[in-house]
Amino acid sequence: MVRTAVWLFPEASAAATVDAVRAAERAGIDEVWLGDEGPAREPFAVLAAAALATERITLGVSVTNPYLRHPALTAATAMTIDELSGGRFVLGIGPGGGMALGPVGVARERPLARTRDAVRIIRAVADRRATDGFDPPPYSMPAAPLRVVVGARGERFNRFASEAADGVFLGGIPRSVLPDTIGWAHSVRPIEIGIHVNTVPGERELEHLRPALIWTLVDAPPVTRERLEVDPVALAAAVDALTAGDDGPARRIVHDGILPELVLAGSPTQIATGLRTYVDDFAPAAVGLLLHPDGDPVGAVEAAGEALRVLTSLSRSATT
Amino acid sequence: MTDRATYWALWFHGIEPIGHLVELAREAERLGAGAILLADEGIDRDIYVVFAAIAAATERIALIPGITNPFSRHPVASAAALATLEELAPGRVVAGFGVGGSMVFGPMGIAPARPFTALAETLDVVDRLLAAEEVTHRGAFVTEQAKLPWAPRRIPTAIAGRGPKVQRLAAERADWVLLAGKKVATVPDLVAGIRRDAAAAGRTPPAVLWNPGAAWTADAIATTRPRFSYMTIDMDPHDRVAFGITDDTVAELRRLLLAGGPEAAAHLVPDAVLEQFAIVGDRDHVVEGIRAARADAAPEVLAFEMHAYTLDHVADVADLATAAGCAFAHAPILTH
Repeated sequence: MVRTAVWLFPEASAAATVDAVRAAERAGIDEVWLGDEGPAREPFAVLAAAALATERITLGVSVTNPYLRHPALTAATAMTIDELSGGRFVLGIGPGGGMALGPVGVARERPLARTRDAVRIIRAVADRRATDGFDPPPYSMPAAPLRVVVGARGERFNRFASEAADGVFLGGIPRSVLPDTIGWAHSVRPIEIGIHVNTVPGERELEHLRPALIWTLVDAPPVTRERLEVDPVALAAAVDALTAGDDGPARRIVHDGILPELVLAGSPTQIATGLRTYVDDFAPAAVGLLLHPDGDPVGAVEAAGEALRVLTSLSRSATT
Repeated sequence: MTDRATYWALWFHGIEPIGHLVELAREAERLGAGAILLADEGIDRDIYVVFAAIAAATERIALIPGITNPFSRHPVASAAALATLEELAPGRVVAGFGVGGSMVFGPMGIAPARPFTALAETLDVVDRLLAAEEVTHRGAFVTEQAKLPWAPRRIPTAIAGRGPKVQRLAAERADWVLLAGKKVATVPDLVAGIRRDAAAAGRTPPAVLWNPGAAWTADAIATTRPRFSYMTIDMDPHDRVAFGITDDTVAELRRLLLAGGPEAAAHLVPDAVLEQFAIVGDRDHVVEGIRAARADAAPEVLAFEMHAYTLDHVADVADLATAAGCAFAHAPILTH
């Protein structure tokens, strides 16, 4: 049975996000993931508070990046939450998008090499052994298994994940690119696939989200933009316009033909039906909803819980 | 000296299971401690995760990174973590920074070029981010229109470190100065100097949190001595001569430190060093020493080491701190 998940960014207060995690556990959702981006709350502290408020739900960060913290520290942070939660933490790491790195003026220099080094150091810290860039001090936390997944869009990253990670977190990836992406992620080892899809409850929210989906296209590798027939010049112009406050060009680029690639909209049943196609076509280990709560993370999680309940019952009835 | 209250605090390292650290912090609050400091070193437990857990289990005890640094996290990441913690524990968080040292950088292979500059810049940038300002900065590190629009409020800043430059920075910019590993007899003058510098800069002087290295049992003294292994080597040559530490002793100290760490070298630390840089002896002697330290320096908080991570030790510290005249923290000790 596929695991269920929700993914959100801690834009609400720490306490409200903790309430949302609690709501996710109450709704029987298997995993909750928090994003790690400059302007939002620090997800590790929020997940620590959430760990104390829950008992079973898996707690994940998706994704942190190798630039804002030394990877050895990231490992220590992950291990601490893992200890606090009784082994429920998963560390998602990736190159970081514009929202994460822009505010710290960090250019994404050598993103694959930096992510590769980070994963190597994180594994070494978790195992308490030396590696280039980490020398175990006389005391450190006891060795402990740590689950590490990679969240990235491109071929090289997903092939790297296949070598070195426990899974991939495929978040907001256009649907038609998923077969290739999963192929890369399975190119070396059959690691776990997690697919996380943008979801909104209705038309109003869909229109609100539409221009923001342009960032998915900006962060995507060129092959994806070609597949979706997005003109790079028009895309760049739309980004400039959006930054200057005009979302018209972005709305035209994220037209109705592209929308189904990027988002599921509608009632819990409609969303469940959409998710079911992802489960049937790609057989992931986990399927999740990227939520855009707009001020009510608990409400958004509860609606997601409803959709995931329908999905689970659809899957169950299919197998009976 | 004014009869201002002195609170007491415990200085933790994240070297015990997190659940146990939380239990000890709860007990400390119950017994009247005003603050928990938590070192951010090596591959110890993450300070913000530990503090988030302590925050959930307590009501008023202050939470002070003792200390974090500008390097293992980018200052924007530190600011976000501090602001998140402040959301979880309003009015109870201090932003404690230092230049960092070998215990931080050794394991991570970091060798910063300008640690003091980075510290001064971090203080400024973190302060502005926590006030929800947009910050663009280019110096020892870079920020580009960074902003935490949700940051709840300005958080008091604290600086720790050796040397006159850091102390002057504290006097001119920080809300707290954290003192540890100082010659006990010099602290009153040092504090007076900081207060004078602050007055000259036209600002309220920083509050003082002082760890005088109190140890009053054989076990505690045994854990205190190794802490001075490095310091004995790094000491001013003038002081070394005064302590009777020969070049041969220094060489032997270095050899033993390399081979077995501070514990292996500890037996070479002269008693005289311990006596001058810490308050050690039997319980009565230490109570008297703390009482005198309080009277002379009038710190807002006195901090004590965790010689043992046990509830008994917490109770013992509470007892001794109270006997030495420290006040019970009935309410959060931070004022904004």
